Amino acid sequence: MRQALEILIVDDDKALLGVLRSVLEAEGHRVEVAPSAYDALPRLEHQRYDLVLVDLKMRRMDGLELLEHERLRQRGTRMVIMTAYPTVDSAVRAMREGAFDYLVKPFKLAELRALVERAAGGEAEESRGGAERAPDTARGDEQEPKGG
Amino acid sequence: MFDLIASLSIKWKVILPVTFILLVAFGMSTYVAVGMPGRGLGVIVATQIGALVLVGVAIAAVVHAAIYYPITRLIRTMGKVERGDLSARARVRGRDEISRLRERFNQMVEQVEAKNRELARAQQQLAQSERLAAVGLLAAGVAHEINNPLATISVAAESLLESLADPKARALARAIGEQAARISTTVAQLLSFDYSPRFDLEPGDIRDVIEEALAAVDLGRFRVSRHYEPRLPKVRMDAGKLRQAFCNIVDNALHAMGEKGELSVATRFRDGVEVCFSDTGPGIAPADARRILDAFFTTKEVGDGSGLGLTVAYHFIRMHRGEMYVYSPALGEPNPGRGASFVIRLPAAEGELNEAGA
Repeated sequence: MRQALEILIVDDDKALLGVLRSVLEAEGHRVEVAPSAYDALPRLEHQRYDLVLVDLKMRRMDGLELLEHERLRQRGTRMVIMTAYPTVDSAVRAMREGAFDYLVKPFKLAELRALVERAAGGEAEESRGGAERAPDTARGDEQEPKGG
Repeated sequence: MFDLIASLSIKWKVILPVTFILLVAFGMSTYVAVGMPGRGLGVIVATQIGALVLVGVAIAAVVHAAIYYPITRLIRTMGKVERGDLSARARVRGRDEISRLRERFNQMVEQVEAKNRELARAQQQLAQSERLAAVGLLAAGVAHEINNPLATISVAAESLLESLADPKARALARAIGEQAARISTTVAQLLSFDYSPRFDLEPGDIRDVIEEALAAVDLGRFRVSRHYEPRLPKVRMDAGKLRQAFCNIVDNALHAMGEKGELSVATRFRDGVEVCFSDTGPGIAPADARRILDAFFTTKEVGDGSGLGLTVAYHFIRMHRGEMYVYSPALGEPNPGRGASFVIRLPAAEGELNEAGA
């Protein structure tokens, strides 16, 4: 049932790259890491990945730019934006750019697993686009009062 | 008599006494010259000179009393104001030119004083909003720097927990994960406030905002009683910001009550639209009352609150030109059977009444 995926992780936090790689490799996936969007570009050029996890905020080229770049070429790749500073704005932009998901750091291992599972199993979900989801997410912009 | 003199203009205050003095002096010298014949020329000349000197002194005294003295007093008062004592006022008596000058001077000082107060208030507000903006900026910057390593720590801790068999080691790994989650909650709390200084004011029904705030907070097992005055004017407000302020106040009240209790919410129209949130918690200790609105002040357990909730609430209310008062039995305030009460008073939007039965 479980399917081994080709995964690329792009993040300028090397500690996180190491941990994510070891966790995902332990699950049987093939994992490559890139410490910047520029390092990721040639890899994306030459190889097809099932899942790409990209940090939003990186020097020189950020996750969204990479997403924009890649969306035009690789249709089968699922791109996930990770961020340590979630905003409604960046979430909306990520979905508009066709991101597969938006992962808020710090995340639970279970969240990550569920995400990878969905990426593996969701061929049928192919048609699910981000574009029509975006507007109603944008409405939440005003306020999301937090009780706690 | 005094009133009559006071009501004279300066011109007459000088001319009348001087004329009087001259007439007296003329009469006296005539009397000496004519009424005492046989005296020597020397005596007459001496009397005349004496009379002239007296006249001079008298005129000088009149000018001093009518012009010099009031003007120097006014100058002295002006000096006080100049040195920053805006409470100094010139004493206004009578209706002559100098009194009118004093009056105008007083009015000007009053205006300066009022403007000064306004400026001080604006400055205070600005300083507070800048402080909050700084907190927001800090929170945003820190969030990124904290959440990134936190992601590594929590994933690593969970992964470790799964691979360990020894219960002691597992407990340690679990502790790492739990504490990472706690840090993450604190950061999320700091980020949950809207620190932006923009306020979009529109007239609205304050009760709607209260209801939204109550709906947004997890009321759990707390009872809520509402006492809304039916006819309530609208308030010019930024509904989002005000809702957040109320959320924070309600949240604070629920936290103070602990397990259970009753939150009572009342609105009324008295010299502005008043909203009162009362809880049945322990109230506020006198020592805490002063600091309750300080940024990062909290009586909650470490990790339970950021100490920003009431600071942000108060700031938002001030930005609506509103006031917030805190009452608690422990502060010697009559608040029978209740814990703390937060009363918020907001200026009513002129001429705009909410539809009845809202």
